[in-house]
Amino acid sequence: MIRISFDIGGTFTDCVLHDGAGGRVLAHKLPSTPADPAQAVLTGLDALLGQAGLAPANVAAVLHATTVATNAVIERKGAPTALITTAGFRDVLIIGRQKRYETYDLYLDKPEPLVQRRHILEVAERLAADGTVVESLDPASVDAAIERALASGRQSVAIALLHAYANPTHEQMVAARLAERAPNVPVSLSSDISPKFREYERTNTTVVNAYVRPVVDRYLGQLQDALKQRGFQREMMVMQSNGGLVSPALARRYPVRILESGPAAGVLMASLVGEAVGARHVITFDMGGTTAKLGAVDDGQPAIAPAFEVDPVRYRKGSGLPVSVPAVELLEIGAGGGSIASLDMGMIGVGPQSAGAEPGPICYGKGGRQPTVTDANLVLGYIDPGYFNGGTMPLDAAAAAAGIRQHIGQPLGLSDGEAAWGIHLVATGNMEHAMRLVSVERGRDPRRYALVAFGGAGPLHAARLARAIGIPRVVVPAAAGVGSAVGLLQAEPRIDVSATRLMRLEAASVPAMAELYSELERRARAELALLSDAGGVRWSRYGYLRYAGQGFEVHVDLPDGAIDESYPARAAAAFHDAYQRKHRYRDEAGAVEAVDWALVASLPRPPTGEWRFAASADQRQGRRNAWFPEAGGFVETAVMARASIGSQGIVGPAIVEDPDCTTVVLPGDLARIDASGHLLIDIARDRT
Amino acid sequence: MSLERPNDPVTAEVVRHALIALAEEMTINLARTAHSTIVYEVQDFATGILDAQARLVAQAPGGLPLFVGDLDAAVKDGLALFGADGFQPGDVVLTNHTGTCGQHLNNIVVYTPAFHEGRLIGFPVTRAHWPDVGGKLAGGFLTDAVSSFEEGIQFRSLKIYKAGQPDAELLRLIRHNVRLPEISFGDLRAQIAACRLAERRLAELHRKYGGARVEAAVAASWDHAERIVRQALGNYREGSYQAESFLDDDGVDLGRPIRIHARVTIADRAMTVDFTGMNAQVRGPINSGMAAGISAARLALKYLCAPELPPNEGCFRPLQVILPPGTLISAEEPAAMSWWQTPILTVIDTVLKAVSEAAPERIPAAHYSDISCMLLTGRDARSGRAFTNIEPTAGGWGARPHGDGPSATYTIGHGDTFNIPVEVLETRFPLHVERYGLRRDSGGPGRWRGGLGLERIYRMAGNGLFNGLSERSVCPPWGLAGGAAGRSGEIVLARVGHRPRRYHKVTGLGLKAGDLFTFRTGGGGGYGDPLEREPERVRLDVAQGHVSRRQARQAYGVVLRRNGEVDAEATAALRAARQAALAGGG
Repeated sequence: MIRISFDIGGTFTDCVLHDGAGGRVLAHKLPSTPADPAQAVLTGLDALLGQAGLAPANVAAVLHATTVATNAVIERKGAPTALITTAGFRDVLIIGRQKRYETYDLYLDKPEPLVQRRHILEVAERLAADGTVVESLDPASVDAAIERALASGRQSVAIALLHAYANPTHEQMVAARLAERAPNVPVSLSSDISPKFREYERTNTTVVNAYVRPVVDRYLGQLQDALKQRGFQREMMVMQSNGGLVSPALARRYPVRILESGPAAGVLMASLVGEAVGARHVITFDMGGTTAKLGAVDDGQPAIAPAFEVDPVRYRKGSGLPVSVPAVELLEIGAGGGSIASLDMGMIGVGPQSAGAEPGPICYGKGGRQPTVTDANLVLGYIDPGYFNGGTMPLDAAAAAAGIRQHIGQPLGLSDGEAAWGIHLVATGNMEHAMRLVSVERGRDPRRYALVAFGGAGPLHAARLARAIGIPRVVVPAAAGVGSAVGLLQAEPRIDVSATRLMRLEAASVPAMAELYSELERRARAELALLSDAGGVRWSRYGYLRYAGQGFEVHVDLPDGAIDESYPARAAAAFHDAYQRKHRYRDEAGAVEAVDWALVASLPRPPTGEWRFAASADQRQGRRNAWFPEAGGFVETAVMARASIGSQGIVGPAIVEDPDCTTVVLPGDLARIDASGHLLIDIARDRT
Repeated sequence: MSLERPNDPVTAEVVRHALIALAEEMTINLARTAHSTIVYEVQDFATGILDAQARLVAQAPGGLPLFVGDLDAAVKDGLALFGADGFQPGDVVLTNHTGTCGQHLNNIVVYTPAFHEGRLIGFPVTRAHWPDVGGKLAGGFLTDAVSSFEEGIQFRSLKIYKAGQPDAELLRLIRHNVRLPEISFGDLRAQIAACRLAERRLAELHRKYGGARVEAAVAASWDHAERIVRQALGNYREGSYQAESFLDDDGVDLGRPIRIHARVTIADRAMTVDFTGMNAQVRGPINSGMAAGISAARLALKYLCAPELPPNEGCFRPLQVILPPGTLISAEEPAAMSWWQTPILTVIDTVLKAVSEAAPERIPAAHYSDISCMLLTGRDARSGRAFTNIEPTAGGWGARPHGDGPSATYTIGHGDTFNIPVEVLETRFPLHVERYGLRRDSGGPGRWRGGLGLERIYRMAGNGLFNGLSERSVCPPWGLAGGAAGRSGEIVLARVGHRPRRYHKVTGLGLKAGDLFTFRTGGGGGYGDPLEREPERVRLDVAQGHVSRRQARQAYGVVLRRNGEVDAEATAALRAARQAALAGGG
């Protein structure tokens, strides 16, 4: 079976083809075409098919990850949107959650809502927390609100009424009326998009959906048409933030679910690579030019968070717009190859400012003047100035060294190597902190985890990080440079539905629990009908639970099977275990309360067969000086292409070069290549 | 090689980051394992690391800024009582002593000594707001207390664990003097766990780098912070400046305004804050102690000079605080302190106001400066359980020299906190929220408009005992550079069968199902002459509902047509007449 995928990023479009019969994997990376994204896609797919000698009609699956939704929010280029809400609660988005994310800043601004106050309209109605109607919906107020929304040219409408998670009726009535008045205006209901309590988060999630919906609708429509015209017969599937695929029909209706499309595919790739090398527990580390993204895979499953923030300021929690839909757990920090190093009153600081791709690091020779992490790595000998990006981009090592000397070395009285090492170490320290948050602080014991590193700069810093945290193994996947596209090829269609219902885990709750799950199943089935290859559904449950009285919930995989008298006890046992894993504490006698309940429907894909990554023919081997403080500074170091290492491996210090990334192997660590072409590094135990 | 020096800059930076990260880890750990709402939702706590001499090594950036640079006071008391040799591994010390900490008794400090190879290397410290510490009112926020004895029980530097062994008798004493022992002990466990985590991490750091290097790195981080603050002080014109402001009263001697005064001297890249002109300590419960008064000055300095720098001992070296004992913010035992934080906010704003003379282009107008807190206690008929809801309300911030002030934002003394969603509030307490929204016209008019305050209307869905505190009605949040003041906050109670009544301070009022109470918070002051605000901005303000047509005309001199557009001619004429009248009147 031929499967083909493409991941459209801001800079590059990655295309990958996998032939299930022979296991052959082909990749093609080309510049994105933002004005008409389909252009790069078609060029890339043509190239791959040409290389494989295949036609579009041979392709059994077309899979896609995109940043279009996220970019619409970040650039504030969504549709003019109106929000209809409960009378008295017009300002929910403006009030927010009040987190002052920079505590001592007199000039702090809150996240700017996507809808201005004048486009937030109130209707008279009120529900109680249990969903009972306190005040019935006033039709006249509904008509007035709709009138104003249409008169002011709103092209998309969000409806978010107080406590609608407990009862969707009023929202549905408003939507029905709007459909009568303006059948072409898309409507997003909070009870449909994210039926969970906490009004700010739910309202914002709904507004994000409404705001990006026309943009995503247009984009996916054009892409579908273009693929069809080119002769692709199978419908394209789109990656969601939760790591599962959906049909374009669902993505166009719930675009808020595809915001983290690309990163989700990356984490999925890491989980599959982990599986291939026998690692069930994985920390994922994707470091590019501007940021580093950390995620996790627990027991073979990508870790999913119930919510995330889009467009945060300086990666601070609370500074972005919260989106309450399941997404792969990601921590993003401002540490990338382009992060700028500077001296601040005698101390080295790195990032979060980045030189980006333009002007880029000094060594790019495109006008960058400030030293970056990449410049430091070049001076340290980790990067070959003649083999960056496969040799297509010669780097100016002398200029990098001069910049570091001028800005860091001279003022501090350090040699070039020491100053560069300082930059490297500070950057690593920033990431180490983030990695500690993802691992230890979330109850993950690093000794049981493998670190899967990818992105242009990830493999270069990975071993140092693994040592600092105590992770015993680093994996640099084959085709690390097109990781997300590879992850896409192996994804399964998946639908998450959830609802908030505060319930104690006790016998009295059983009927309500059973009813809730049949309602969730009904919703999931309605969505499955919109997935083109429905059939063979696998169901699983999870929830967010806490000890009664607490305000933070933990993710719990809830047991399968009938919801009967024994269910509360079984669910409670799962909770106690999950809580203990996270907090190293359990209270068997404590009452347990469930807040959110979720059901997952996934459609297992057919086996993808073997994977044989086209090995680079490059068998380069050489030596150059690179900085290893444990070896006393600059030492002559073996430099090898991945293909030349072989399964017997090499003991560090060593540098492994792929066309799109460089891996540093520390002294004493053992690097080898497995049968699939993945690079494995065993971190020397007594060095961590 | 220079990296072998004990004070090499690379190691210093790595250790500095590790220490800040450590304090943050304590915060995350504490927030996630604590049991009381105010800790986990409002994050009313602080975590930090002190060295063996109780100097601030690192404090987590989250938590409450009001707690900046005053964690040392608690540990210094312990050092004085037990001696530098008086700690053993495994000890846990608890204190809320007003004479030491200078805050309300609910703020419980828990700290532990950290050791490496038998040597004391520092103290991880946590402070968390416990939901109850005894006293005559559940929750402790008394508005009418005149001494700490009414407010609850004081624990002065108690070793509740000695060498790892819990002191069962002390713990029993605590358990039976607080109303919600399960929750408080849950919080206590979380506080101890956070300290223990930090002990382990500190020891790891010493093992990895060696004590001398860690200490050198800490010293370097202090020097670094000091340099940053001194350099920033260079942005302020040298001189001596003063400002005063007033609080309405202390809640006991009603209608007697309280003077806040600060004289700020900036010279030679150092700042002196002289609080000698401050009101004497008062009978009512709005006093705070010396540690809190000093912290207010430190916080002001931080806002002015080093907003992004994680706080440490070095930040405050360029600061001298002159604070005689016995004032409102250096009160002596047994002063009542239930609402200690309210005046501190105005103290900080007053220091900033004084400094605005030194750098008018850097300082925003006053913010609403009020906790605007309600405290509702009772028993929920639905569940039969006792409840306590303590909730501050956000308000308007002052306009800036180049922009409008933010609306509905927590005070300068709040930090990394969350408000409680209405949908959570209504499940947890017998309350029904009728409105939660911006308060039109509350922002001080100016060339740049002050941020808007909030209005929140609650209807009681059961019975409860209500306390509320709203301040700054006699001295509303001031404008700067010709901007007008923002509106003050207020509380309105409309009990079934009674006329609505307006309050600023309410103590122990019984409310019944159906009664309404409204919290309104103040708006921020304006910046610059409102008659110079671009009419287009005023038009948009009216369209957005921030400003009424009436205020547009009266305060801004902007006339709008029926369709909402600016009537340019009428506006020009009205503004000219207004300016002429001002010139003539002046």
